[in-house]
Amino acid sequence: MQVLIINIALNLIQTLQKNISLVLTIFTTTIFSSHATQASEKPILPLVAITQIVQHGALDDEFKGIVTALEEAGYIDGKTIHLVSQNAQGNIATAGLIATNFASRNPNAVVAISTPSAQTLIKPLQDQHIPLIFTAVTDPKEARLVSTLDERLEEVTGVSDALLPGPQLDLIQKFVPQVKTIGIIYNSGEINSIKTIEGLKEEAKRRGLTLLLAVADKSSEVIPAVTKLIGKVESIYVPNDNTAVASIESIVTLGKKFKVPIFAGDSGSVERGAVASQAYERIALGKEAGRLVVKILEGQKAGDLKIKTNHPLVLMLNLNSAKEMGMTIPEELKKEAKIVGEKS
Amino acid sequence: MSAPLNWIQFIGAVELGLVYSFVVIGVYISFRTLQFPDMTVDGSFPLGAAVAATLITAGINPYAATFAAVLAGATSGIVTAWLSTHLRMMNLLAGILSMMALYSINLRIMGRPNIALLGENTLLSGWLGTLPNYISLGIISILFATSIYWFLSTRLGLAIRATGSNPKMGRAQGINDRAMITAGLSTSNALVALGGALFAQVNGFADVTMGLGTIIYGLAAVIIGEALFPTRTIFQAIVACLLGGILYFLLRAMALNVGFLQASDVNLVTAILVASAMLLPNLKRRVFKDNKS
Repeated sequence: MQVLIINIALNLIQTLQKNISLVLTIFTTTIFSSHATQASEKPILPLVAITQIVQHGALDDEFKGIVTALEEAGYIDGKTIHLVSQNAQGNIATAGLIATNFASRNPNAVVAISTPSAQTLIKPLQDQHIPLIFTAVTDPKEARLVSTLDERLEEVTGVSDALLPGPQLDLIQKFVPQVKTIGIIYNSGEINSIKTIEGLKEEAKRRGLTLLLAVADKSSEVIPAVTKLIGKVESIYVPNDNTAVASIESIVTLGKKFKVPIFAGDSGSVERGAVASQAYERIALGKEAGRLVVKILEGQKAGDLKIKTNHPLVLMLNLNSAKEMGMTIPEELKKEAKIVGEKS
Repeated sequence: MSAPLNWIQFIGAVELGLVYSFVVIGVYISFRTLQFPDMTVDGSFPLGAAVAATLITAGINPYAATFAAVLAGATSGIVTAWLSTHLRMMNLLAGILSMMALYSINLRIMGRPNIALLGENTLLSGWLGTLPNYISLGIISILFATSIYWFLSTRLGLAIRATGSNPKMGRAQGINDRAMITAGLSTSNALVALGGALFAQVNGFADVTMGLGTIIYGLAAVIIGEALFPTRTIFQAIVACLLGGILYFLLRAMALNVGFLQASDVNLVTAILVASAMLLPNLKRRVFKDNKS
């Protein structure tokens, strides 16, 4: 043991001697240059930092919504505020670096789009009392972003996108009255999808419906998952799931081929070919988050702002898809819906 | 310098580097001493996080939970070694298979894709919690680096190294190379899983997708460390791994600060860093040769 310790000490001294200049230069340049930036970054405009975990339609819409709400309140990037944004491209270690990058700039507010983004940010921000506004998070309590939805002390608030299961099943039963079995395609690696499906299962049981689950953890597994369901279900529901939504076109193609109506938990998917959705408008959710940011910029405390849930639902209908999937849509449903793809 | 860092970012990157230092030493053992490019680490990193997070939320002592994570990691290494030595599977394929299987296993262990640990009692909230994270992580890291140095200096460690550098010669010396590959890979993946368990406890959550790119970080750090620091002895090599890991995450953090670069460019930056790190020894050799002639 003693030999070991002496050995280590000697080795360490040798190694350091050889490299001390190199290591010192690297480490000192990083620290010295940091002082330079802190001096040059003049905190004249309030700084808002936004990060999202991956790039895709729904999350990009949230981003647009946030920026729009800020602009509507007179906070324009480059003029009245300074806006920075970073996308982790699905990589959690990168999300960690983004989190410290944001914390180090001492912004007035940080917006996290998605659960893992918010989770990586929460610690570095809390240490410095920087307010965090999350959105595109289904269950902020289970993600431990907040302890309870109502009474909070933390510098955290945001928007929850949890969809109640009732209206989702109402939608499918309205359009396909004879429905008994509903197929669902989802990624078993996404916490938001799992929460949605837990709720749907209970509600379906109450209504005497059967849910048939098909897992697609990668976009390449989506088509096999759909073919697994075809012939066994009267309709397919695609929840707000990153993997399934990203491949909605291939699901729709199969739905048209085998005349199985495809429903979705987000409006973007209807524009891309699903029959209908009873969903939140992502831009509207982003705007809600943006308005929370505005309140914080105006001096309110994040902990005093209520977490926003249960937003207005919008019925979206794609008539072309309905036709190609062999459905006739009742006139009264057409009236209350926002219609896309009307050329028939 | 156009890529500055300030104190918080510097500390953040050092912390990340220290957490990943276990991955780097693990990758060093499989990739350098055993010549076995082990893809299992992309699965054993989240495995460590999954086991630790699940047990901690179930109320188990964080030390016991972390230990269980290390054992789980070691088991995953044994499986890969078994696939490779008994089923005679290609090294790369054996690792990829384990990695894929681990994705499903991790989901089973956690029961869902994401477990939050914020507010739970963790390794870093006991007596270690009185210190800043980078110091407590530094202590844990040095402790394990020392024991790995000790392990690789034992007869078993020597046999593992011999198997890696020349399996035929090793066999001729009476070394059971299958057992050595198994011992090496289980040690390597145990370390990687420890890294995962620490990542979850430092950052406050475990997510099933967090393994993505682990092997790349490990390899990048090993290669950068080897290019910049001497690695003639095992001790030097381990120090090079530690410093390489920290340096790699510092460089990544700096890349995020460069105005025209986005987070999505960081993978490209990694590729360029690794490629230039691999060029460096060649360049050095050429320069010295020119000087002599």
